[in-house]
Amino acid sequence: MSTRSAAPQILKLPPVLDLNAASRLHEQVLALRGKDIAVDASDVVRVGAQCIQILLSAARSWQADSLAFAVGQTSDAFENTLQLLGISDESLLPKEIVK
Amino acid sequence: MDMNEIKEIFFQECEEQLAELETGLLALNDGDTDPETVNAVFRAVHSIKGGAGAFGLDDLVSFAHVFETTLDGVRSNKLEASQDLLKVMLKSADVLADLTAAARDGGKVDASRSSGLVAELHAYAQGKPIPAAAAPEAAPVTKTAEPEVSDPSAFEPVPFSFDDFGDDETGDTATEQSGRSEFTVRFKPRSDLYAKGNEAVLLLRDLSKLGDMRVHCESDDLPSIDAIDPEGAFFAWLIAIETDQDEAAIKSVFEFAEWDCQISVTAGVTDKVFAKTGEASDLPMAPIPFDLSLLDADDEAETIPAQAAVAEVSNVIPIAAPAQEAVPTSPELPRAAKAIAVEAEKQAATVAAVPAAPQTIRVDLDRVDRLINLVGELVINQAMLAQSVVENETGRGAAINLGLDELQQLTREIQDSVMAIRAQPVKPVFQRMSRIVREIADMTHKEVRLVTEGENTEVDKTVIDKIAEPLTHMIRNAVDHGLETPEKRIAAGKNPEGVLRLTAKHRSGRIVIEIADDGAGINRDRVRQKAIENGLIAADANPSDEEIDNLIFHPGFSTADKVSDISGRGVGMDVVKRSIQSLGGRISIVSKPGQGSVFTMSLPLTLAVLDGMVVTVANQTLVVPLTAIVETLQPEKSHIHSFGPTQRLIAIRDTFCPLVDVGQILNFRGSPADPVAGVALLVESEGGGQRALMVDAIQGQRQVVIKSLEANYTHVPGIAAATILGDGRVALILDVDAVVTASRGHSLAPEIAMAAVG
Repeated sequence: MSTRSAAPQILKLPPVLDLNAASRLHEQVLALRGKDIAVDASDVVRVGAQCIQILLSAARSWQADSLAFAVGQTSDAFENTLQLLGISDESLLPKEIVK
Repeated sequence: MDMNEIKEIFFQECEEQLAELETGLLALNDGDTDPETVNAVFRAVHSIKGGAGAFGLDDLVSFAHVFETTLDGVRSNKLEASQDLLKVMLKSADVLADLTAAARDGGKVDASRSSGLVAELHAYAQGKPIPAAAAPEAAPVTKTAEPEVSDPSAFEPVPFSFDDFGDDETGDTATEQSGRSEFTVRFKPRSDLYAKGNEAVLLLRDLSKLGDMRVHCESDDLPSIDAIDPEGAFFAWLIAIETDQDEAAIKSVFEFAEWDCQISVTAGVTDKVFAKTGEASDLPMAPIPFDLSLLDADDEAETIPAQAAVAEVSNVIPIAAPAQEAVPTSPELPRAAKAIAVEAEKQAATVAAVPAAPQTIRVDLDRVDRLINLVGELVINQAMLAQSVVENETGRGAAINLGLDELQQLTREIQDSVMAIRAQPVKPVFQRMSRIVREIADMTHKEVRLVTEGENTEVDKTVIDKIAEPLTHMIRNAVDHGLETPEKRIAAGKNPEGVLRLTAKHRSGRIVIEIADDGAGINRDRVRQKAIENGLIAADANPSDEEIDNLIFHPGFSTADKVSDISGRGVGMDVVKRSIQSLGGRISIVSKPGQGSVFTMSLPLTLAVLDGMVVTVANQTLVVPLTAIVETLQPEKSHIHSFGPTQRLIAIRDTFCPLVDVGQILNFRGSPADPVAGVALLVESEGGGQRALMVDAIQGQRQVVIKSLEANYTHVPGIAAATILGDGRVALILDVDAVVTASRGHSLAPEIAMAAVG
């Protein structure tokens, strides 16, 4: 059902993804609906549970649409937070990049 | 805002919390088992503790802390809320109130009282006072542990010594050989948690500092990206933590987030999610060593080899935690896990069902009073305007009249709304009563249960402030004199526990408060005898039952054989009666021997406005409170009878009623008025009898704004207050009882002196 563009859109995450960033992140993700996304989380120094919620929800929605939603580069802080929160969904972890 | 103001607000909040605390405890006492009630009680103590800590009120904090610990035991179902425990808790609530008052006003609370309670509370928290409480805690643990250990589908059989179970706190937690315990933490934040600036990530990080933890995130509730609320809360966590600290330490991590999330901490790890980790599992698990150094620079990196974590899981001795969970008939692990899940859901349901409290603001009473005053002026002004339009009516004023009608409606509505601001439920006063009942019951060694009804009935704040004292007096009397001792009650075939019923309700624009006891009722023979001894009635008088009952309101009357600490010093019901009358209220008593007595107080809802009948007496305009008037009638010559040299009676249907010439009593005129030319107002007087007040004419019925005469002028005998009429003139409001008393031959003055004292 997709009209795939050649290269995935890059979603660059800001350094701070706290409560205040959640709405904006949501809008950004929605704006890219229907396109493959590669998330760049390399700048992230702080991320809250709500932004993770949005990313995970996006990853699942993208999966349902058979589109690629992959996290390319990550920062250690990003990965550590995911671990701390017990999120083991492959789509948010870079090793599952190939899809 | 300086510190003192903040402190004042804290004490105001304390008062509300204490009220909440008492309501909750009483509800529990009556068999309420709603976990939200326990929560509310806990919350109240917790808030007081928190605030007190901020102000350095150490006495308050230390007592609240012990109280809170015990309550926490009840909340987490470790302690049963037995009657005995609740008794201790109610007493503790009283001490907490005393400590709060002492912190506010200075002064000291009897240290022995609080330390005794602290010891008792502490004993309960430890589960010691009732040997039965400790036993069931340990017993189900062994029951559930055994079959689980031998359940091969989930665990390898592990040799395990039950000797490790002690009676102490750690006894009901799974004790590892190393002394570390495992806990399961369920944590589901609500969106409020994030909105208040808390962050689940930080909470989990703090938790991870306590020990080794494995986290499973439940993300099934997560909506799709189109439907997601970016600031909602959809994740829930299931955490297994192995720590050398106790349950309290885990809970303290969530201390500030407690009300914005669902949190449950149970000892042991029984959940499937963790149990299956040893096998190849498709369930997402993250037993990953945490490197927190990047999240928090000064955080010590705790690195645990993943293997160790897994190995530990197979060593876990699963203990289905809370005693009531471990029903002996469901020993299997999955069922135990289910039970926890069900419990968690139940908690979720009750939490969701709690309605949000309406928002309120605190307003200085003076400001409200000023507003009320202004609205009163507005009402008067509107009436004046209406009158002048009527006077200048030229036939072209239809539009003006329409506008005036609307203005009148508006002012009436504004007036009602403003009055409603001052209206408050009688609840706080009633709650104070329950404490008084407890104390007096203790002193007199009686068993009393106070049942309150209609606590939410609203009445003007001034009225609330002023009824507290007479109500206290009556409650004391009811317990001390009304109810019998348990022995006597049993002998009379009654429940040894006496019931005192305190009811408030609205009745035709007034509030009616009833105090009913199921005691012995008034001993009329003794009352009569005492009255004769005291010279209140003649020895050969033959008063009716009602009259005898009303004798107890007579000044200086007491039937108590000996003066007790509590009541019976001769300043009793007469003071009560006078203070109620000064509020524009009435009090009456109905008593049945052997079945108890009912005192009924009827009070105006507000002291600011009054429905009155505007009458003319000797060219003066007077207002007679409508509540006093039974009926009005036009006397006929044939109905008027002379009685003695000056008295006159009027025949109303089958009875004769003394005629009271208002104009003469108030000295408006020297000679008696002609009854036939005027109108008679039949009023109920304090003795229960009726009197006919004679006035010249009735102008109409009107709601008037009360203006105090005392504040603006001075007290006038026979006049209760004044008001301003539509034409701008001052009209006096008649003090019906004073006038009636004066008509009995007493002059107005001494009665007034007494009323002024009351």
